[in-house]
Amino acid sequence: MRVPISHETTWHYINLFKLNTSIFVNNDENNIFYIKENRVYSDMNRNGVFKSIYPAFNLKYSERYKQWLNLQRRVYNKYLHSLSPDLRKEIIETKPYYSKAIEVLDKLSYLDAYESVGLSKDAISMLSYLDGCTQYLSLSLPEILHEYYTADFDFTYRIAEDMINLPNSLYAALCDKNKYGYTNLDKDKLGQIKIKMNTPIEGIYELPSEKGISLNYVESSTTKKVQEKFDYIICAIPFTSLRKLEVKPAFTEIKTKAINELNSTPFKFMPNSAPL
Amino acid sequence: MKCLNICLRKRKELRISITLLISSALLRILRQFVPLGHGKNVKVAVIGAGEAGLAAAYELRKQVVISHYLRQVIESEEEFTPIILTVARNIMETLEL
Repeated sequence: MRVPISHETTWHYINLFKLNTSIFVNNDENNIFYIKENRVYSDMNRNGVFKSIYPAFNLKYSERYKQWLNLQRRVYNKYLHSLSPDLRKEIIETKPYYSKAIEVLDKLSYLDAYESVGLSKDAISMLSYLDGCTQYLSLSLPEILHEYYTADFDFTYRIAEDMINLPNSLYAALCDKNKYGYTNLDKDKLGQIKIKMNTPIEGIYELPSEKGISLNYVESSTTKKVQEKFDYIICAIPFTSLRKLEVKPAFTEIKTKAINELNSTPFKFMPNSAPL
Repeated sequence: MKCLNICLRKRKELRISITLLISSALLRILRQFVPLGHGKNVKVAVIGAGEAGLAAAYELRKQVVISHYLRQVIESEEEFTPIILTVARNIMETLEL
């Protein structure tokens, strides 16, 4: 799995548990493009793309002699670099409301953006092959800019051996089996923790009569349905799973909308939501 | 759901767990609500044992000032899995694959 440098929370735990990482190679000059039965090196200096790929598309005169990265960059120049730094950072912010300029972006798909910078259909088609984003043209532009802005494709690493080393290290720390877990802390003062695996949650209910939250789940050993009261609940499951849980009282309309629409096409800037 | 199927990150590999970020935000929120140093046992449940849930439990346990609190991590799967796999499984269930 790729870990971009901008994913600081992930890096915090990678560093904490001293996990080894190695470079995740995204681009290499020896990569080979295979497009419309032409096989060429991706290295720009070898001009293979110019000689073999460009002629395979019906490009406009103004497009034929421009490097494909420069053609692609037109989108970023128009929609990202032209924004002021303050506006630009809104792309990666979660806010209740966004500036007009960002709202305009929100209405565009990646394909719309290509078309709006004057590229021909064949040029767009060629770029989508070269960039490997054929199936992403229908995605919203902010989704692309969101990753481009934070250089997610440029500086990437992977956890050596396997990504599972990260949850494994956290789990080991919770079981006091990781020496890097709780350094400088007295083990006796750490809180108690109980981990229940194979325990599907069915619902989360706020108790009207008393302070607290009730959780309904199926006990793995007995397969009996259990209702347990907690003071607080942290929901650390994906929205796709959260949608399946019964939650009473129901979330507010705007929160439900956010939960239902997140990870759906097209991407939309969602309002800042209150605690679940 | 369509977005997950054609997720940008699939261009190179599986999605990175954004829920780690959510977890840290949740912790910040929780700290505002938990009456620190209360003295009595407070039960906190963390639902999900992916990176986000385990990180949340790790951070909660570390807070010496609330060391009297009981925490519990509840996971629906038999083995704890990275959240990305859970997402993938949910998609498959939805699409009845």
